[in-house]
Amino acid sequence: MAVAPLLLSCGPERGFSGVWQQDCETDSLTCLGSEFVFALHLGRYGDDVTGLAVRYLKAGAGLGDFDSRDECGCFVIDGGRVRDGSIGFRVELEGPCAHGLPAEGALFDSATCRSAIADPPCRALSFTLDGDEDRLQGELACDGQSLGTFDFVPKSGRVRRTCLADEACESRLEPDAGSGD
Amino acid sequence: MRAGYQNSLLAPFLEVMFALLIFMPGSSLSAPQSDARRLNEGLPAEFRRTPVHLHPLLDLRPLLSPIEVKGAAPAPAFEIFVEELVARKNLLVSLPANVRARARSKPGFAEKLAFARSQAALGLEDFKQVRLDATIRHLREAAKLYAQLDHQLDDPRSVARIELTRGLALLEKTEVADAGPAFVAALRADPRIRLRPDFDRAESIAALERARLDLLDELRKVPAVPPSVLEDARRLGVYIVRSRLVPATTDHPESIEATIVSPTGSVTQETEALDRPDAPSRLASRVWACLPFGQEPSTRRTARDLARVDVGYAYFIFAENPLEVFGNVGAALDVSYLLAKNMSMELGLQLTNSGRDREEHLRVDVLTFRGLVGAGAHFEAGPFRFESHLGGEVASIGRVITTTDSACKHFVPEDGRGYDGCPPSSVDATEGAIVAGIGLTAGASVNLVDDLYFALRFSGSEYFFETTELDLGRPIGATAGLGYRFR
Repeated sequence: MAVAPLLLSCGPERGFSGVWQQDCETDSLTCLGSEFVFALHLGRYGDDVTGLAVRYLKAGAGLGDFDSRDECGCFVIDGGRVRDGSIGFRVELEGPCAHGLPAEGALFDSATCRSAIADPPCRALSFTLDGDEDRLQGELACDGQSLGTFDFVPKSGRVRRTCLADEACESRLEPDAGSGD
Repeated sequence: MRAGYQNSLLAPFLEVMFALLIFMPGSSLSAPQSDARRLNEGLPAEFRRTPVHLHPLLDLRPLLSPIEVKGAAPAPAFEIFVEELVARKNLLVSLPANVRARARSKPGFAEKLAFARSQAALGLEDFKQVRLDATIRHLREAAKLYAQLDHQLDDPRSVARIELTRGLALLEKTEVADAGPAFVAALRADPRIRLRPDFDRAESIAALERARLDLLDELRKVPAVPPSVLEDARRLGVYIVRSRLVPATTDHPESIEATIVSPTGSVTQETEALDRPDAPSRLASRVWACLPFGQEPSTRRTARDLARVDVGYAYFIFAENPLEVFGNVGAALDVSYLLAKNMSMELGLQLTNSGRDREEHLRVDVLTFRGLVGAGAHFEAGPFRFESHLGGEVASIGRVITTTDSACKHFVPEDGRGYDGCPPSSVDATEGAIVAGIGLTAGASVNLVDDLYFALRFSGSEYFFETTELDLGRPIGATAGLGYRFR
């Protein structure tokens, strides 16, 4: 009988895995002050969190966000951890795979995108999020400087595991690239 | 061309096995013994005899005029019949006096009888005072209680008297249709009962006579068995034999009948005409043939289960494990064979597939096959059985792939495309191993219905040998399943 709790307690911990999108309806102030919105494609493995953070240019009024043609950056999540229900991770904006190309026709290489990235200049983004299966709330910081609070809500869909839609990332990277760091 | 098996090395073995099957004691293929032969050869001390309760004889011969039966023997035929049944040693016969004594000693019998008698006294007094409605009501209640107690077997005259009086009261009320069954019931209880021609009304005497003739016409039918008798047979698990002496009619000679009521409620009647001197013996033989012979004691060295086989679910974890705990779920088969009293041998087989640990460091489902052979002890307490076995275990553990790098878990390129952030050095892969060690099981089972049981076992093992270093060991877990007992 003593082993019964032990037998029943094991199993994968997958909470927060899935697709999360920034919620600009309830987070209007932060959204108004930024050129971008983020979608997080998270994979949780126990206390580790990994995945992708995809940046989109905000659409104009009345237009939908998170259109693949508005993609303006795709970053590998590095060193993500879950502690006491809080998720923390950072993305390098200038890593070897950071500039992997988005889907065909996207604006990543466009002048609009480059213009948006240029201001403010930022080498790494840090996410610190709390919440449950229905909502994540937290702070986004750029090189240690807070950019404000953000809300994310879960969305259905397949978790994206590569920045490239049609071509392997490695083909566009330096020979020593591939770790995502 | 000769048959293949005759030329094979198996032929002598098969012939010996066939001969053993034919001649081994208790084999279904050996020649059956007749019940008479078994009886003559004597029964073992532990033989379980068939319980038979004999009810007192109901002598219906006085239904004819008392003059016609005057001088007839009281019932020698019944006495011979009883003696013949008692002489059959496979039967455990309770004589009529004992059966009635046992019935009278039942809880509540005396109180119920006292109440029935009080109702009867009230009804008879009401009849004297010509309170006909009260008479009918009290005597109907008394008759109902007497029937529940089978009181006509102890005091037929009292039962007949209240039924007769009830019939007279109904007749007084001109309820002739209801009076007839009351008179029939009176005559069934005591066939000697009559009205007095110089005292009772002619109309009443005629009604009782009609009832007597109706009853004579019905004598050849199988008598109805009271519900209380059926209930007694079921509750006590006995065969009840109720006997009647039936008077001769124009078509049939005088006869003796036996109605056999089984514990399952089936009713069988045997009749023997008394125009032959051996009629009571013949009836006893026919009744004996209708009854089950009894139960032989088990010829095995013990009446306990010879083998038990159960199948169900298995679950275990590797307590020695570099990762976090992960479960292994699958099917289990367990066979336990009786070696001696309270000692048994066990064979346990499990085929399982693993889940994942919390961090999902384990990247594949690990297929494991475990086999344990052991010996140990068991004991039984009512429907429960407790057991423990110790023995050797051999297991085959399938391919194990692990990594602690979350990128290796998440970014898996498909067809060489996509982001691959997983350096090969971050992944450990082992192509499975055979391991061996000792295993201990302990469990309990409970009998469910017939030979089916539910079993729950806990087990743990320690491995001392492995063909490849796996870092997985000390499985502990449990199985739960349904089983069948072979005796």
